[in-house]
Amino acid sequence: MSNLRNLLFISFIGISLVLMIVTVSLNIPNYLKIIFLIVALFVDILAASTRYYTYLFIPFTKIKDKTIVLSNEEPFYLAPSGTALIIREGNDVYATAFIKIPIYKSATEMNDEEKVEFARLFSRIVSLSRTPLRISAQMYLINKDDYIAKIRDRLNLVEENYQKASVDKSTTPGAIERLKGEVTMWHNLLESIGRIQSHALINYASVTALGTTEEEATSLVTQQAEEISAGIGAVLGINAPLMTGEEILLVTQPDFTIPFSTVSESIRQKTVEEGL
Amino acid sequence: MDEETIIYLGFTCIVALVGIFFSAGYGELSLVASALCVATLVFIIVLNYADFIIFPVFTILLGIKTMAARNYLIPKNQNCIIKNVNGLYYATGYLTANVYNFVFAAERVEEGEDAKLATAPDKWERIVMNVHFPFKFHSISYANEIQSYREELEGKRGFLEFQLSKEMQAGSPNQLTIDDFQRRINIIQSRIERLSSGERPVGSVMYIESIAVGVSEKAAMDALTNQMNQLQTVFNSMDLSINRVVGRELNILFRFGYMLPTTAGELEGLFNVQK
Repeated sequence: MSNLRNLLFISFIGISLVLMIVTVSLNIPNYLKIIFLIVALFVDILAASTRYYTYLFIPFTKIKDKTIVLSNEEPFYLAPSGTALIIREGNDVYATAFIKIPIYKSATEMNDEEKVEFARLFSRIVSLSRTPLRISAQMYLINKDDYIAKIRDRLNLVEENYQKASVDKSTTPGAIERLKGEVTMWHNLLESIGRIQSHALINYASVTALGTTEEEATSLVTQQAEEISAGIGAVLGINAPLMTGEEILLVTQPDFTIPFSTVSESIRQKTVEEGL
Repeated sequence: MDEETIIYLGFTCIVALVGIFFSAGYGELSLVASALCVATLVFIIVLNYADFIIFPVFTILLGIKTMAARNYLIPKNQNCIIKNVNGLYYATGYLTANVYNFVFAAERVEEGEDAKLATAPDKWERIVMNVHFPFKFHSISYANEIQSYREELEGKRGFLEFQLSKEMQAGSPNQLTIDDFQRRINIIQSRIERLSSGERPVGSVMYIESIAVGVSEKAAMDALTNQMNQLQTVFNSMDLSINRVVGRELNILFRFGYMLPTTAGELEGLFNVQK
């Protein structure tokens, strides 16, 4: 990208300068000269914008439906080992690994000295790596999707039983009442689960390595992550394991941070309440 | 401003200045030519310092959206990135979160540093307790080369000392300017002393990320704006310098979600890094 940027910058500056000088020396009407000047200045602005916007230049020429497509691929995929994300950019392969930092201490149970010491320890972690290291704290919605799905299945089943019993003349009124009560119970349970959103906090570190192949990048990043993990362990006195599979998706994908069923149930109830 | 930016800004401004120099060649339209060149010059300078204003204006006027990756769309106002999952829209936005006050406190008064460190965990827990939606606080950091950083600091100190002595020898020295130079020299001196005591220099970029969900793009974006405003309010207690990220840097921070720069130079080229 850097080479392309320099090439574009030099080309635009050259075109702009040549156009500007040639225009003045041409024997053409002044209004035409002004038009050429406007083109030259526009190219000069393009040269200035290459500093930060080179990545948009080529996609902009292929714009469709007023949408610039930078990439139509998934942003990353999980390495087969499940311990890193793999990102391909041209011939380069990047791998990113995540390290969990489980902290069970709370400021409420520390005195002032312990708080200062804890803050100092944490600030030592940030200088663990020579390459950029990201320390993050994430608050996310606890995933109740499976639990909600089970309650929904159960609710559907008892509703079906209730419908069947209602039309079946052999069913006693007592049995119908019992089934109706069961339907109400599962409805209430689903509502109470959906209404309350439970949150949790996770602390983690992440680091990226560059390689020419997927294996090389994964191996390099795993090595770096293990060093950082050992450093975090030594500083904070905890076990900081590498994150895998769904744990990584939880901190990278919005639909894992806010699980689909958990939030859609909550939105549905909110809509019903507002409708009422 | 880094060297690369100076080169880009310098050359493009020179081209506009050449235009002004040759404006006499446009006959009766020479004033128009000069005005166009001055306007371009101003535009280039604004583009260099405030592209986060110009770029969204450009995309809003033309109604241009950007697809950052499959299912990830940056709307025309360039202030969030939206993912569509089975008809639910997840909007992700970013805030800058520079802890300048903590850095400067550490450099000025030692006793103030302890007091701030002692209250920081409490403040953080209070924020976590009072925020009822998902958010992330990120701090990207890297250790600098001690020797080159020390040399850089010593160079800066030497230049400031030269400016200070020049100001003191002036006919009518300005006390405010002298105080400012002395303050800046003290800050650099304390950084050098911290390096001598074994502390490693660290560069860092901090930002906050939040995700909101909605049944439409607009609902998700509105919910996100609401969340961003709440985060700005609660993080005020940490004395953070907070601004919503729009434009080019939004795409960079989105990519940081799954891929970080692999070298310090790469990171420094993207943002103003605190050292």
